[in-house]
Amino acid sequence: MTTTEQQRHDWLLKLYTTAFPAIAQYVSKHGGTLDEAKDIFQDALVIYYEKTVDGNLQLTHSEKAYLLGIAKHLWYHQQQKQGRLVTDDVLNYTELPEENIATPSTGRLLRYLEAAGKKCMDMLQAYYYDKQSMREIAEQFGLSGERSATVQKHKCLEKVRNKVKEKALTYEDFCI
Amino acid sequence: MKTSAFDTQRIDRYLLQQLPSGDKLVFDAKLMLCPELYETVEWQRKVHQLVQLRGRQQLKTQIKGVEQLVFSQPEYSSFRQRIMRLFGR
Repeated sequence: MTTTEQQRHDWLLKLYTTAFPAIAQYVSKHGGTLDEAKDIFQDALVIYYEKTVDGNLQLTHSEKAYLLGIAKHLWYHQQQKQGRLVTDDVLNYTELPEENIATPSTGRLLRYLEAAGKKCMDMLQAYYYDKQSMREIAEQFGLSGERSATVQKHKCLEKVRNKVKEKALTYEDFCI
Repeated sequence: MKTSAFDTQRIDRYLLQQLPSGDKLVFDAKLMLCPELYETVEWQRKVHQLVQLRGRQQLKTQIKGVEQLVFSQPEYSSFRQRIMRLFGR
């Protein structure tokens, strides 16, 4: 579905034009601004993308309806957090997990890893975040096959792990 | 002691919750007995978290790009007008 950047761009563009109007309407109706609607939609897209690539999403409605559902939950949760709602519902909200790892040191560390080996980071991201198969990774990175991709991915993992360990020791807020 | 590729792979399966329950129990016991393994697992977990964060940041950047496209390009003017009307603009 989203194996290349261009394919993912096309997918996002299609969802933006088809699903955003309903979400904007919902947010507007509930007193929100256009910027709030954009932020809610961005988070909803991230949740939807991650669930889709995880492969455990079984849609019973359209993508548009699913995204609207996520957006409604996010909106409700945000309003509650900001104290604009007084009810304390026990619904199990779909929420983007807190990016508690995103400290200033994390940003520096990511920039360092990027400079030290972008290709490795791209490969690890393709596997762990975009959940691409070894066959897709082999094709994307010009490797001879799945076996070669697996070996390369493990070498990258070890290399990055060692760099993180070495570098993190200088960042107080990034230790195990 | 250098961590072998096999260990790296096994640690990965542990972190991704792909080990069969029996193997997971053995791994948990090894973690308690071997501080070095524990430390390696934690560093590998950090890598997973960093890669996850990088992936999410790149996705958000791409979504922002799409957003700018639909809110600026002439071919999306009817879409834009439809949205602006909702917010009384």
